[in-house]
Amino acid sequence: MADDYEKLSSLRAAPATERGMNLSSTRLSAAVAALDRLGLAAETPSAPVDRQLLSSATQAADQGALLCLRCRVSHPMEAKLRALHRQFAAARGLDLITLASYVLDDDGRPLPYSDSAGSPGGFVPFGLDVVRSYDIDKGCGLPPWARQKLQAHNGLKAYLRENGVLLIGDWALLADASPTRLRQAWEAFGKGGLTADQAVALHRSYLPLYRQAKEEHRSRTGRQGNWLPDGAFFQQVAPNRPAVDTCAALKAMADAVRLLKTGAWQRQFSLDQEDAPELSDPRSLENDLEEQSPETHPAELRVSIEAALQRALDKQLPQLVSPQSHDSALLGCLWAGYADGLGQRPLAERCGCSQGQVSKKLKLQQHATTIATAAALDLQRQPAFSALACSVQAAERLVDALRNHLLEPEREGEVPPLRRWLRSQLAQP
Amino acid sequence: MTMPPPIEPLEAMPLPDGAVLLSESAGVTTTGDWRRHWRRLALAAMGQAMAERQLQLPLGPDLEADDPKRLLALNRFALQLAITGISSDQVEVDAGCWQSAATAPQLLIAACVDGDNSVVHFPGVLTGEEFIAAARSAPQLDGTIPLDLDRFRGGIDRLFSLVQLLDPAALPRLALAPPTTLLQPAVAVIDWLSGQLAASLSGLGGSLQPATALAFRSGVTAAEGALTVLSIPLGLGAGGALVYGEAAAGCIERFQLQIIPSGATTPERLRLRLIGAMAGDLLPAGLTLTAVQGSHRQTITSQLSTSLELELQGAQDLIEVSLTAPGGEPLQLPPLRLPA
Repeated sequence: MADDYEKLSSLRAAPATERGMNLSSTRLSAAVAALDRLGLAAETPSAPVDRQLLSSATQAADQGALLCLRCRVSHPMEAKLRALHRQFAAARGLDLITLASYVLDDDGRPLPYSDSAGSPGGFVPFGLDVVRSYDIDKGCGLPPWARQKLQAHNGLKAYLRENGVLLIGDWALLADASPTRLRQAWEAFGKGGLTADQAVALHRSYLPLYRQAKEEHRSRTGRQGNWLPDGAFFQQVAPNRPAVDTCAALKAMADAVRLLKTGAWQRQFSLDQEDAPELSDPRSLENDLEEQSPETHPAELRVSIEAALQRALDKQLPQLVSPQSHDSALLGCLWAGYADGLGQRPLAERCGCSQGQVSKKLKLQQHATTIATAAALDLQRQPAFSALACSVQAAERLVDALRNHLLEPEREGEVPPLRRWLRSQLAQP
Repeated sequence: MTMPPPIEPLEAMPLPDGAVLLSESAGVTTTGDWRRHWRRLALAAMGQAMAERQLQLPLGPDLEADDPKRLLALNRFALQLAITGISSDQVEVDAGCWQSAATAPQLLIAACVDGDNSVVHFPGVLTGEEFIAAARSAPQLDGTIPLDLDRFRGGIDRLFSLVQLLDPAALPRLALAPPTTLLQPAVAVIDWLSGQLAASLSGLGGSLQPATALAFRSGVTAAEGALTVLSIPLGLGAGGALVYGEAAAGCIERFQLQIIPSGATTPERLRLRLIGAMAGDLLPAGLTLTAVQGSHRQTITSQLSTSLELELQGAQDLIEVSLTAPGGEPLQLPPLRLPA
């Protein structure tokens, strides 16, 4: 099946669609002709076919063969983007067209392999960059190479980061795993001939070399990212094994770690999508005050606390509701919606963002903790609260109580102080 | 029977709550090894987190702050920064500074760094006391202690709250393992008469005073024939752990252990006395003072007591003294030698 070499997955103009573009697969006649010419039309996709095409592209300057390889790398990249979109669109509002715009930008025009020959208009599609940077001696096949290059794409990473998603490459994931977690992952999900002890030993050998290679990469390029291992690296990790086998074993270990971590990551996404903006401890301030200062009358304490909170709110909140940042319009919309009493889902709908972005942008717990700490610092000057300075537990109990008080109504039907203050602040001309 | 559908591995991880997104340029640097680089990112993230909260807390040192061995100073608190990768589940804590109370930090913060994406997440903070408790159940490997990140709590906001609200004395500097008799040479009590005090005792905050001066200042008579008095300041920390030396000054419940050699001209007997920081103070209930000399063991526990006392006679055997607070680890003094 030669589709992999003849069809190019990329963004195409589609005037009838909402965005004017879609992600589609197109058969390229120049690629079909090249396969016929080289006698590869009936071949199934494989590493030897990749090598033959690469040889024609580099040594015979065959732009048709190069086009076949550009088609070949577009499919694993499309699959990866679709997986990212499927997994994170709901929680993080990822857009498939935007995702594809970073890496599936190849329009299928014939281009030379050599970058010194120049490309019309200077345009180098990402797929061509993937093929140009591919080195058979790196020890990994072309499709995995394409996925690794996508993983290291700065623009794509920045877009994902902005939407609360971190692309963690296999090599970093493996380096972050502790020996305990690696063994656990391998025993649960490991695929391959290694025993758990052998996997841990290979990981132990990998770690220092990974750190060293990243340091050398950083001193060479000034950047931490975009490092990819080559055959020499794998040879160093396990001198007595073929580099290709070591690469495959490490990839299998990274896959096992990824599967082990997937459960925890999915739980975090589920939490992000819950409708309540944030969860708070339901303990009431009244109870905490009685524990904190049993000698002082609760009504007096209440007055002092409300005054301290008001002063802290006056200081902190103006900057929150009028931020000087690139997303100030979104933040303004979110704060206004929160002041109106909207939950996470309606807030996301009103402001045109994902539910995950609502909590990430509002940071209610963080702001409430900062205000609560400022109020506790203020209260500490009063004799009833002076003991706070001597006790971790007492200090944390008061901050927790004040934070919960800011975010939760004391009685049913009441408006929490943070929301009440925001309303009055936003109502000012 | 149908098989459950296979798990689809996630291609990426969610940004942890509270993670600090640094500017792209923050990750651009060519100098230093990866530990220093990650530490610089963590320090930049700490600075950015303070700015977001409109906090202006002094953070030092100004020089070599990226040296992984150095403690930080945040608003007068000694702080250890332990760094790991963004998708890690553990952090390796350098145990070196925890070997002595003089060098131990008051707080430990964990930072998870993603150098590729310029993201730093602070899972939380441990106080010295919390770290000691966590470290006891963790292995010690090559001078580091691996701790699960879920032991840290509160994110960076817990750090900012504690360093703003607490008096530095409320968080004592605690050594990982108090001096043990097995590791330390015996201390000759007779040396005290010439003013020589072993480092193992001065490290506990111990100091020598003439017996007459002590009686004058405190109103407590040392003992009949007292030659000198060694006083070790002690206190109960936030979780009821015994603390000693300067850290004891920050405790609400403070007391002192006096070790008083007496005799005509050379030490013939040794009196151990535990009393409150102020004469007449009640001792915390449940403090147990133990002295072992050869096969002879003496022990006494406080219960509405203003003092505890034990007396030992000169002999060939070393004297092993320990003090225990309820539910805590014993504070073991170096073995003491009296002339036979």
